Amino acid sequence: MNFSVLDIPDDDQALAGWLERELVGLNLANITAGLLAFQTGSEAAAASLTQVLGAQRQAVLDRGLAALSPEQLRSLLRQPRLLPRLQEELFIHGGPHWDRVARASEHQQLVYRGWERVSAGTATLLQTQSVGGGTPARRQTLARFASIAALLLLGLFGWWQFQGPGANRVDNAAGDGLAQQRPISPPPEVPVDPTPTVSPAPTGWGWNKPGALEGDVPAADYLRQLADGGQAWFNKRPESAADLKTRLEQFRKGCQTLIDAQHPQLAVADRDWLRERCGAWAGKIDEHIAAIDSGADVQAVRDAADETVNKLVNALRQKAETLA
Amino acid sequence: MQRRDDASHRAYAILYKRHAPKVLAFLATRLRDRNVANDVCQQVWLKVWEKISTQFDGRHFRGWIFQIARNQLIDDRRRQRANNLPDEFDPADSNWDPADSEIDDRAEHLLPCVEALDEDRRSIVQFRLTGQSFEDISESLGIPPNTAMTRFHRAKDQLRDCIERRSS
Repeated sequence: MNFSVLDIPDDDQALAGWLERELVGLNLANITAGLLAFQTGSEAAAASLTQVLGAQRQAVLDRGLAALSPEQLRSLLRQPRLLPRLQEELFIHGGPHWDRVARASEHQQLVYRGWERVSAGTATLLQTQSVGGGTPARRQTLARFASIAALLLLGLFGWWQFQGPGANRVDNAAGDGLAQQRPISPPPEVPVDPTPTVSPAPTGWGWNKPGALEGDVPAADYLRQLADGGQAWFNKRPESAADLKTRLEQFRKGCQTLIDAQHPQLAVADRDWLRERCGAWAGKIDEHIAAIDSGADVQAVRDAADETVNKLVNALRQKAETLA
Repeated sequence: MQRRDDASHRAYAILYKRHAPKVLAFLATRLRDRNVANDVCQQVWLKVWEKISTQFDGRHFRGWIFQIARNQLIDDRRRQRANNLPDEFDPADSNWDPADSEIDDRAEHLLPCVEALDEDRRSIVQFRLTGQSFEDISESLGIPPNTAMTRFHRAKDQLRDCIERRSS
């Protein structure tokens, strides 16, 4: 137990970002308890979450707390018991904005360590089943495979819908607003095992082409250069699952190159934007690779990957226009 | 069958990566100990693996997994407290949130430190925790902003010392 709630920022702009990080983090019970401990009876008047969010509920789920007025944010602080309810609401119904709110490295580490044990647990369950053997076990394996593969494909479809031009623009705007409030050290990528295997060496196209990230050029030109690098995806049209997987893995490797690069051509806020977007794109590419591994139709996955690449190329070009 | 199991497992890893941080945060808000929250989180994910083919209706995965998390919390409370469940506990009531009792316990632990603050410091902290800036506080209390800030930081130090003493 602690008084970490006393780190509450002093200005309204920073308040929404701070509260978002607390809502998705591991410390919300302490924050809520700290607020509660300082409440006087008169402040504890009950209102429901629906009343406090009002007409902004959907905007909060889509774009985060920046959609709320300062007075609405203060209402949440005055009624701290609403915070865990808001947390549950946004975990169940929130859009991709909430996946991008930075989490502490301790949180990421716990999730990673958890995976090691979950993975071992599923292996044990599979062994138990195969010892039992027979038709019911085979049927369960097939049913599980079908359920999970369908979920992933639905997830891809949902992402395309979300990434429509309007949604994309609004989402980027909210992301930029929060970029300055992120912790200094970004949370480590959770290495989920088994990760899709990445081909040994990049074959030198796209963002891994020698010189792709070099050049003493203005920021806008640099982003256009990156967009051209992404566009190289379309230079080959793999027809088989194995070829498509290789191509996706190479593209994924290029995403990692972008994430790791210094990008001295860009201002700090634009670098943050680029890395954040790269992280999201890399996640989508991982899903395409997993879809291929799950036996999904090659043409459908290639179409989905084309869509992802088109989105990212457009995002880079649009960002370049704002900096030109 | 082995190939299908491997493929399912890889896809399941993607689901875990996407949703496990949220499930863990949900549980950590409702359980005292983070390690316990992590254990319960793992149980939730094993249930997902076991039950997805028979109990998930294919409609809203997040709704389904958070229902598993809720049920797991209730089971955990039953095991931990046996005959000592909170009075308001009603697993059939979808409005019952295990966060409430956890947060009450934590607030109760903090309260003696809050009560040990003098009136000036306590009211400044109260203002700050409702999102008032030091400018706003100085206007409300008729004191210079720097004085408000100094008192707040002293209150902060006092509270942190107090909770450290109580926890040791």
